[in-house]
This record gives sequence, C-alpha cells and structure tokens, in this order.
Amino acid sequence: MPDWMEEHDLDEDVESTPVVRPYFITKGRTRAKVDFPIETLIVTSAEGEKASVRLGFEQAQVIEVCRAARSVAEIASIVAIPLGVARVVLGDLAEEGLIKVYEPGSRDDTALLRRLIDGIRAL
Amino acid sequence: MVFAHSEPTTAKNLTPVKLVIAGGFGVGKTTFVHTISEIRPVSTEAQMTEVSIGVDDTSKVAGKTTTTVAMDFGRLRVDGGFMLYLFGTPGQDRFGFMWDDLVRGALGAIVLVDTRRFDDCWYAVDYFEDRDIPFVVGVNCFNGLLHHELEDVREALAVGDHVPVLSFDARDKESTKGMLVAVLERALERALLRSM
Repeated sequence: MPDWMEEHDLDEDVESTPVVRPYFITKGRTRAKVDFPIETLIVTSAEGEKASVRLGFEQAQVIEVCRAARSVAEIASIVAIPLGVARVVLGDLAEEGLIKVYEPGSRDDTALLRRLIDGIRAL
Repeated sequence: MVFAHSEPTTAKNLTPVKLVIAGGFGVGKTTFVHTISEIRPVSTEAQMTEVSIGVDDTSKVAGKTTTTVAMDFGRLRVDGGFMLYLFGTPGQDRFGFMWDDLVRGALGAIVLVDTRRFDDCWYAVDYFEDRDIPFVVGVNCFNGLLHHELEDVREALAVGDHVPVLSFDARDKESTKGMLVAVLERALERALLRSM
C-alpha cells in the first residue's frame, strides 16, 4: 500500500464527500514527470502485471486497462480521471517500468506519412 | 464500459498518430469521427485547475478554480502499424487554452466549415496557420447541397492556394477517408518542402 494511503483515514470522509478529489490520487501533484501527448500509447509491462497488487486503486486500474494498448486520452476516459491526473499517474508508472510507452509519430516523417496515406486508401 | 467491444491490441510496432478535427458547433465534427472511427467516439474530460495549465483564465472568474472540458475522439487502425486518433476540438475562445495540449504533435488538422457561419472557423484557421500545422478545409455538404462555390469559401477564409478546400459528406465513410488522405498529403507536401 502506498504510504500516502496510510496517512489518511479514507473511511472518515466517505459519507460527506463520496467523490475522491482528483488530485488526491496524485498526492496533490499536478505536474507529470513525463509530459505525454494525449495520443501516446501505453501498454502494461511484464513488471507491471506483477506489481498490480501493491498499487493504489487508480494505478492498478491503469495497469489493468493497459493490458491492451491505450492512448492517454482513452485511459483518462476509462478510469474516469482528468487528463492531468492520468498523466501524473502514468509518469509514476513509467518511472517504475510498470508500463511501456509508445511515442507518437512526427509530421516531419515523410515515410510515415506515405504509409498512412496508402493505408487509409486501402481501408 | 466504453471500450468493452474494442479489440485487444498489442503495441509491438504500433505508432500512435493524431489528426485534429476543428470547426464550430454543429458543423459535423462528431459525425465525422463517428463515421470513420472503429470505436464509438468517446469523451474524456480535461480538468483545468489554477496550477495545472499555464495559460488558463480562471483567475478572472472569482471563486472558480476548475473548468471541465469534454473532448470527443475516435480511433482507427491503419496499415497494421498505426493507431490513428481523431480528436474533435472543443469550442474555440473559451477553451483556447486546451488547444495547445490537444494539437501538440498532430500530423495535421481538418477545419470543418459551415458556410452559413464562417465566424466559427476563423479561430481554427488562424491557429493552424500561425503554428505551421498542415490543414485542409472541409465543407460538409448537408443533403448533398453545396451552398457556396469552394473558391468563394477559400476567399472568405483568406487561405492560401496551398490549402486544399474540399467538399465532403461527414456521414459517408469513403468521403471522410478522402479528407484524411487530403490532409496527410498536405502534411507530406509540407514535410518534403522542409526537408529540402
């Protein structure tokens, strides 16, 4: 269990505030360690699969959801957390090697653009 | 669960890429994404707080510290190796602060135009021009009717000859595919020029 959960009695506030404040999940941090573009693809790593039992609720959810490749935007949508929170959580998981990160292609990459054009025509 | 029907994917050799669909309310952005996306278009909420976004405007609104903005998006698998994401922009002006995050890294943009309301797309045209982001203009032909000649649209928007201005039908898959190809060809043209 992460140390921040031990410091607070979660049950105490449940009735008065049923919704966890988004940045409580991130221990108040609003800046992610890695600034992922929203289309960045995330996949749970082998280490991540093993680690899910010791993670916080949202972290474990992300690990579960990312067994299939998901973008940052999809993850935020599925786990129902704001994008900024998702980025902080993902930054932590990436730092621990629990997820693999696939970065977006560049608009200056002519080979990539050609493959996409041919690929869309063939759809 | 929104993604219950989506196919499991592995990211081996998978590259995410993004195109942005911009334009005013009701111009067909969501229809566009719906027509071509493999998943039902979904919304995610981006929550702005006083410290999370550098250029927000909340300081001017007394007692208000957060704003929630919904973004619609869809995706499709292309050529086995690409996951192409299509993001619809939220309304301009008020949510302009979100555009930088949304557009960052996009291969290009499609600006959808309603010829009865040109006002709605000037923000988008200026935005993409200023940042050298390749874009095309699409006139959604409701009921197959094009109210203005495309050259009139070009003139009204004051976009250069290098910007394709095309008519299309957001409900038609082949037609939306044509728009995706058009913006990627424009992006390729730009990339080739830059590499010279």
